[in-house]
Amino acid sequence: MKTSTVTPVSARNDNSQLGLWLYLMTDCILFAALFATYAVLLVGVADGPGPAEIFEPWFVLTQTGILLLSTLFAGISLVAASFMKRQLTVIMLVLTGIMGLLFISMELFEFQKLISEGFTWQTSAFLSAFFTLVATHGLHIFFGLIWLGVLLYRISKQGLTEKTIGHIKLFTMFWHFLDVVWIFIFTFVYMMGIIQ
Amino acid sequence: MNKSMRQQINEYIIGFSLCVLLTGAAFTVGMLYKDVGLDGATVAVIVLTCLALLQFVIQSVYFLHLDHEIGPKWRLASFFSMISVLLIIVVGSLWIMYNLNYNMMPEMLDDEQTQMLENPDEFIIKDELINP
Repeated sequence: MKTSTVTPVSARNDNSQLGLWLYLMTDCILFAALFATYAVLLVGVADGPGPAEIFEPWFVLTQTGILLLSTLFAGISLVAASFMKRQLTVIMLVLTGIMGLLFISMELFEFQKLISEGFTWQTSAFLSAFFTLVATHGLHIFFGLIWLGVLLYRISKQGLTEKTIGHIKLFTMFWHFLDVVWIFIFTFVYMMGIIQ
Repeated sequence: MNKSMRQQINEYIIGFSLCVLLTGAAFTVGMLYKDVGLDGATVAVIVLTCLALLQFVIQSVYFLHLDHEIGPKWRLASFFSMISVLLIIVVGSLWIMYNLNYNMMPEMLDDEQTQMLENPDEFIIKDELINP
């Protein structure tokens, strides 16, 4: 009689989900430190512009809408994958990626515009904190997009197996997390910024 | 897990719609109080914070499914320990830095310190006085 010592895929999926979750929790702490820094340095505008002068509310609202849509598509892709609807899964993941690309392009456009106006991260403590916080979120999106690319490649090669579905689950967790962080950037950086 | 695909997708769409509504509400508050200054807009700041927290809860439930975890609640436990660290970092930083700024305010200085700020030259100990 042989007993298998190989851990079943579903149990491994559970472990990696918990692992990713723990990583996300530590990532929250990273963002908490950046938010605290931003809040402290908010008044340190030196001779540079304040938040109200550089933020464009409608632009940011569009960005927020795009990111929300992308997180919705990511969620639907996971549901579709768990029902083995391969085509719908891939369509939704591609849409997630397009929205993510749009989002990050808009962010880069915003940064590029600020820099071309002479407002860089060297201008003031406020701008240093602003660029660090928002670009850290942008960097997460960027790596998320690379992850998504790898994921789509694996689905095209292996189809929807228990393993790839597990990966979709991990990716969507990460992606939803980024949207949660963005709520706070939207509220505390941009909306409170235009009030000030 | 015995919900149909349609039902599960609908749940995501409900969560998404709630988030759109809350974002719209936050945006409206922001635009209404545009350029008012944070000191004059305490209500707006409180409302915005509440809207953000509400949307945070909605996304945690509808997207991250924090409400139905099977087995030992490791995720929920680590989530709350994260919240406690987060609060210590954010509240602690703001508290300390606010106090620091408060104690640096001119009205906190006594007469002698005010004079020192206004006429620093008179208070600089000249080298020749110490070593004639």
